[in-house]
Amino acid sequence: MDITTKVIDLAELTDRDEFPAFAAVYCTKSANPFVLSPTAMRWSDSIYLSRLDDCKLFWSRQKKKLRCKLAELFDPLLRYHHGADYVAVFGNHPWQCLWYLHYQLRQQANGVYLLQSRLNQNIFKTLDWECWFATQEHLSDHWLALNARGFGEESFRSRQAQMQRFIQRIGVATPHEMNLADGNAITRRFGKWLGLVWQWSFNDTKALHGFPWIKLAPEKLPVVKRDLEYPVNQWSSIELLLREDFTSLCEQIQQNDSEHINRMLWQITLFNDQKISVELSFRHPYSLHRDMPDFDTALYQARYIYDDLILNLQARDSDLDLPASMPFICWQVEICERVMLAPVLWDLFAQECDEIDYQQIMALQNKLPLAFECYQSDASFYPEQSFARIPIGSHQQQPFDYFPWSCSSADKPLFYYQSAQPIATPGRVQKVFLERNSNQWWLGEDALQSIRDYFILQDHNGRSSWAYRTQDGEWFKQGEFC
Amino acid sequence: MASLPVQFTDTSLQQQLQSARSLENRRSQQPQELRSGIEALDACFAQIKPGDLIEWGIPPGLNGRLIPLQLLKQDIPPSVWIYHHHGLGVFASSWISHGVDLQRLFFICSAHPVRELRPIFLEDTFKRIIIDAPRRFSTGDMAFVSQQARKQGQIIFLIRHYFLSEKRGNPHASLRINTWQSGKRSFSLQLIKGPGTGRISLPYSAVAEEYGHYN
Repeated sequence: MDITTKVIDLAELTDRDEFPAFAAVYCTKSANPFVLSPTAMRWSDSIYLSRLDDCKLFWSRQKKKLRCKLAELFDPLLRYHHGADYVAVFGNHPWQCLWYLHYQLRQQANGVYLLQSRLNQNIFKTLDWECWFATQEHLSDHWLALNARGFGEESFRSRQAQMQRFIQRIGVATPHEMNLADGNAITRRFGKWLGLVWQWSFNDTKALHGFPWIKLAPEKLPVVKRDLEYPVNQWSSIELLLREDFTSLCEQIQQNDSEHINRMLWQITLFNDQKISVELSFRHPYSLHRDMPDFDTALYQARYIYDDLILNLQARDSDLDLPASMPFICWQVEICERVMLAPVLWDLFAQECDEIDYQQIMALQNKLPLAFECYQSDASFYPEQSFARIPIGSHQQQPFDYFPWSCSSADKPLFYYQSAQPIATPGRVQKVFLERNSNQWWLGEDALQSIRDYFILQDHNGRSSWAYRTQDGEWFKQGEFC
Repeated sequence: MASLPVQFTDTSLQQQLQSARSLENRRSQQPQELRSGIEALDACFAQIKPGDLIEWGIPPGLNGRLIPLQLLKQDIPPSVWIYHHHGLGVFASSWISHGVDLQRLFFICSAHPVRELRPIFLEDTFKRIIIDAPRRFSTGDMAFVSQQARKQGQIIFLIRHYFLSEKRGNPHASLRINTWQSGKRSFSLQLIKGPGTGRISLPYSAVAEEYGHYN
């Protein structure tokens, strides 16, 4: 019996833990292509491409927040927007996504497929030539639309036929069996365009490498313009009018439950015809129509901007013979950045751990001029690195118990100076030695400089502060025992 | 001769008294809102209910904030600590080492909390609000905050950066208390207003872990 052994590459057994740069989505309904990203391309009537790299941070945060896998994050979202019959392939290059999508459509599959996963990587390597050529069906349309220099449809088709004959002759079953062939070799033999397709098929970088990406123009964003009958400068009057404008914006977005706003632009024309543009930005995506009819959140943000603007104008015009607060004569409010988020995503947020309603806290934060501070411990004995500020709700299960690091801070104050203050060498005060600590000494040139001796200093009134002494004998105050 | 309305007859008064007593019983059965696990401290806060304002006198440098911290350790609802100390930020590992759950305690820095953070007081998102040494906090602010606390069922801690005294009272606070670390081995509490008055001493080890220090 002939026993053949095969060495399994370790990479074949592990998923690649990286965020996909693109997605190809097939859906039967004429659906919104901006579900996953504001950068999208229409590939065919039923397929669109999304560039996820543009909102990688947002999706990475949602994934971390929900403590789920990417497929679990995207599946309910796409199901909500496109129904159950959608197919979505996530990968590093749009061509690879389209190629694998074509295969899954042939298999009559549906759902989310990540090309990073081990299973999909292994299936991807078995895709046949028929699938590879069939995926090229709409490719020439896009090159023609882009007026790609030197591209001719007839010559491309004849090169395809030439390549098909070549493959039949040499008897290679799948493109992956030939993946060691250099892109330049394919270009020399079958022309530039098939050479490019070959390069996309096996290149693992996120660069487009000549892929005909035609960005889909976003729909016209809602705008409300108001020309005032009389100049106004009092917030009480402005507030009433802005509330009407927000209602009219809501009507324009047809109370779509998925519509969330990141930024609004408020372009104000002052009494002296000066035009000022200010931005109402929200820390968390804001649903305008859910805030109807009061629009508390948007009006709070507008109020903070109004107060700042009036203060600045008063400071600027204090020596001029102008009204104390410059009146407004007209303005325009427009939504300049929005994101489509299915309500199911918000429902998931609400189901987070231990009944803390982060959604409610985020909604409250949207109404404030400042952000809440949220902290998590870190495994470091060095005081400044023993914790980290994190976004709301992104507390992570720590891989091991950080208590040994945390408990070393029990005799340190609750508040500290973010930049330590130099002080004179303490004279007649009580000094209690706490610890000798060292930063990452291996990173600096002079290891001794990173050594600090920490003390509690107590003055004659019994007031304590937290200070350290460097190896040069300089003293710094780092905190107060409040 | 004036006659008493029917609802104020002897019988109804008796009924009212009875129902008031039963109410009192019911309240005494309710779990204590603020708990620290330190018996002497819990006794001071036994009567505190949602809607109450507690005023603390904690001058800087005396480590007195470790006492209100004890009441924020055990199963707290989402809470916010509004602080304002010149150039000072939150040293989070120290809070964690004292057993505070930072998933439930949020921080925000503001010198004028009522003016700058009004929405926090208008909603019931946070059931405990700690206003730590605001730069300006008028009587009007106090009235607004205590009224909102009653409306939203919140408990407010107002921390002053000076010791409180009986000479200047506060009708909005249900409890007024000074706290400080006295020496190396104990913490002191002085009750100015509340169920009782006087001074309580807590051993250092009840409030914080003791670690070996070398002089």
